Amino acid sequence: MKLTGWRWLVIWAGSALCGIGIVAMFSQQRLYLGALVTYLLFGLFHIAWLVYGFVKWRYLRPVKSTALAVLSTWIAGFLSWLAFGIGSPGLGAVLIGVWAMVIGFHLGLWLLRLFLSFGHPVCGVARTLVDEAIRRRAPLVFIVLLLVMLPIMPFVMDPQDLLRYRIQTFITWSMIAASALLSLMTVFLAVGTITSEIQNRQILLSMSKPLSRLNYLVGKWLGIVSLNLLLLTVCGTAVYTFTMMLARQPAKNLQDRIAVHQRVLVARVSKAPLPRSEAGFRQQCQERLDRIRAENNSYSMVGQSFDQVSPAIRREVEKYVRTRWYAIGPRMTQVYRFSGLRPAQQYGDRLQLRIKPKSGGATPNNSGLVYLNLLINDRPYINPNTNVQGVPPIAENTYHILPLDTQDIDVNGELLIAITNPLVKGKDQSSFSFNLEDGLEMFYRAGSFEWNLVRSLLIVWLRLAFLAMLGLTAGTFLGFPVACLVCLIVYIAAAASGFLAESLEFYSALPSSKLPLWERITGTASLIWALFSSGDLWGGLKVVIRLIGTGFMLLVPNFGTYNSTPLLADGRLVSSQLVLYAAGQIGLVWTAVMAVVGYLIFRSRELARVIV
Amino acid sequence: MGRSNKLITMTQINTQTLASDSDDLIVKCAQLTKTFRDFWLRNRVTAVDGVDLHVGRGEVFGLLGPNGSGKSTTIKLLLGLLHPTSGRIAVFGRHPREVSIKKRIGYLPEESYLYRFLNARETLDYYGRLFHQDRRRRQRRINQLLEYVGLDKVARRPVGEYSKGMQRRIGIAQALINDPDLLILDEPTTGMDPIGTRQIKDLILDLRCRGKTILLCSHLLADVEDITDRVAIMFGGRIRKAGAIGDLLTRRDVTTISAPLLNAEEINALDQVLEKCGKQIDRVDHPRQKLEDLFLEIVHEAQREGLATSGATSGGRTVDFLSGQQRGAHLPEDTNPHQLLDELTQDKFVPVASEPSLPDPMSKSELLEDLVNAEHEKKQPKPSEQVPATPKKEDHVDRDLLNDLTE
Repeated sequence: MKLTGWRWLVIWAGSALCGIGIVAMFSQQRLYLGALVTYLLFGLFHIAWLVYGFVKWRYLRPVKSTALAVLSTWIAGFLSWLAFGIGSPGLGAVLIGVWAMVIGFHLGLWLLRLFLSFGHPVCGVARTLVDEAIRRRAPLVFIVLLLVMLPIMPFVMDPQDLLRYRIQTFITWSMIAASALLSLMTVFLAVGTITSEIQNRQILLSMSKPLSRLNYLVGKWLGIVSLNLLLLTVCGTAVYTFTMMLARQPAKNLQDRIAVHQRVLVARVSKAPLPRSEAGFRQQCQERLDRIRAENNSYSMVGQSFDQVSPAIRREVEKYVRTRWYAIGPRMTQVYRFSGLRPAQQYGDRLQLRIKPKSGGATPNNSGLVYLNLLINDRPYINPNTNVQGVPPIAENTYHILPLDTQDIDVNGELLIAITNPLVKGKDQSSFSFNLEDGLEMFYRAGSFEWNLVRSLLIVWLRLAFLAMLGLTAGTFLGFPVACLVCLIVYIAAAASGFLAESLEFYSALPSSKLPLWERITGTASLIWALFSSGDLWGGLKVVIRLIGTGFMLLVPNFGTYNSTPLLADGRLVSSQLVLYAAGQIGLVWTAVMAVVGYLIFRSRELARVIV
Repeated sequence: MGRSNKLITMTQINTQTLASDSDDLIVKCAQLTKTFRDFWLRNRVTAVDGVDLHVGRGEVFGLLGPNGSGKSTTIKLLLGLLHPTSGRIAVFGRHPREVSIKKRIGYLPEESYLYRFLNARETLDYYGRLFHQDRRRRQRRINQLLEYVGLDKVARRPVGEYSKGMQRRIGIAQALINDPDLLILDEPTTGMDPIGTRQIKDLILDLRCRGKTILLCSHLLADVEDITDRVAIMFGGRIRKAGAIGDLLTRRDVTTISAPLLNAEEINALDQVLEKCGKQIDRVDHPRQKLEDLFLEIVHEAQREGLATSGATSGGRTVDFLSGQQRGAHLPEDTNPHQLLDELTQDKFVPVASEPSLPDPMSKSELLEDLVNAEHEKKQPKPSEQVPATPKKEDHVDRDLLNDLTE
């Protein structure tokens, strides 16, 4: 009987099972010498057979994959055993981690290729792209970097740090590394595959087949997003595994351990406080509006009530009133109402009141500590973990978590918190305030870390899907370097869209956004003319630059809203709603717009060059 | 001589029939012009200038011309890879940018534009998918094609590691993956050794016998002369001359007589006979064997003697493959190249005898007679004279005769 690759595989697997069976049988009978001899004999045969098969039938994919998987497992196991032996458990864990990710990637790749094995042109293009990604150097470098970097990261953390900080740092940087490396890989792969095929003319052959240009683009995109999905799955598994591994390490203290489980490895929802009386808050807003009008007669929409003024003015007034409401003067008390807390009772965990007081003057004895009294539903605060009444002095400008019992939530799902600025040793303490964005928040558990991670990775994947289409579109009409540059600029602008928009506002002044559109246009034109005619060329140029920047930002998607990594690292819920919005805005709208633009350009493009 | 004249006449009849029947025109161009423009949309160069081109069903059409004459540009226009500046094109009666017609086209570009990171099998698998072929059919065709082009033993090596000739072979295989009705070959013998060149010429002849239309673009005139029915010679983007190859090349003012070796006395006697007719012998010499035939004979001999060389194994097998001898060295015992080609074309194989453009019954019987007579003349075959007759014969006649002619 002729020995073929498949028969080799059967013999290899059969001998392994036989060896295990005989060794188990000997061990059962307590014939340890027989078990050892059998183990050694089968082990030697196994190695020899494996190497023989690998050398002779390495061109057969199942043989090659099996042999490589087994050989790499042995090598990784041996090296990590050595590392543990010489007292470097971190190095051993890194080796095992790299091995596991590589094996997982290969397994996923096999599944992906199987998935794309249908006899459809789109699948054909997609599968060829996957092959291209793993066989060409540029994309492969990023994949290898990713598979090596992630397992190293948990072991470069400072062991002196609090455990929760180490975990948060690892989650943050591993997600940033995965996102950045995959983004770069996506750009280079998407742009490179199109531009190189046009330059090297492989596209002439593909387009001479019954493959429409739309199917070609879709196939390329499908290949990239499939590969990204696989890599993100592998990365996500690695992030989760290493996070759990870190979480099992000794914490600095009990509070640190509790924080890990209640503030990091959870998915929490935060609630901002509401005024105790909505009508009272609106009354304060109206009074503020009246005061502004009294001080400035030219203020717009004179005579209108607070509810009738423009949203921009309303936001401005509300912000002022809320800022005052977040400040607590000496011997004063402010009451904050938190509503919508009913879901918190389902999980049964503690509520977490997070505060970050900022002193308006010197703290008592310049200690940097802030004193405050807390009433929960008009009852003095008792820490449910320690049963200690009252709040100890807390450091200013630092986040503090005060646990609350969910039983305090009333039937309407509301909780009233009264914070008092008390006398300290008979003296008034300076007023203190809370930051509007995150100075005073109520957290409760609303999901698990695992699903939070999945949703977070989904958002990263959606961003990569857009980036892939952007790269393909740029590649249809630009050369490789220019297309890569354009993609990276757009991507960075999209990721930092919030920061850039704010920077543009500070860069140069334009007529207020509260004005009607027509007045803003004429006002801007007048402003530019006035600046240039007065000789302030630089000032005029800055206005023009801001206009160009603002126009550019209109063409760039706002990814800042969909940055899930800080939420994940902070143990905040990455909601399904956020994922759906991201899918709609990034996945459907922006990617589809880019696809249409790319298709229209590609459809009319002549693929051959002048040869006469 | 009489046979040659008859065949040439047949070619003319066939050509006229194809030209007059628009349904049988596979490729049709009218006043086709392509002007390349620069970035500022200024006319830079006119690559194709008012070309009128008709290629009929079952025809081997040669597009000739020196480098830069516009041949490749014309082909790219036919494939929809370039947009014409003016004029009209129809391939299978449709616009060349229609995806559906490309199911019937096979294209071999002037260079092998293949993915260097894929191996031969993966390359063919990719192109098979583009034709919506299911896995089983794809694998069957890939195996047949790899065997046909002699790359089955190196099918797992990346294409980037192939020699230029091997890349051309895999290029030919991909052009045949869909069993095309129209095969467009742009400089097919570039980079090929004489064995490969001969293989391609035989392939073209075989495919033509199976009713396929072939548009051949080349500047290697000897190759084209052997296998084409009609040619168009381009220069400066225009067709300078077009017509049946026999019409263009036959010298009507001279007669060549072929006879066994004559001594001086016999030649003088012959000259005296001619003097009685008022004519004389201008020139007496011995016919020369073609270098291609000599080369193939030497390689074949070396193969028979079992001489080993680093590159000859493939070549030797190919010679066997081409000649149909010693199949054990390359092909399975029960396989021959024509059988393989039959399998490759069986999906859409239409016996050429059923083609609608047959000439009158009288011509058909003459054609068969000529093909049978050709067997006696196979020591000095001239494919350009023999092949035009083959498209119009019955299937069994075709198979037998072709095997004889090849072997």
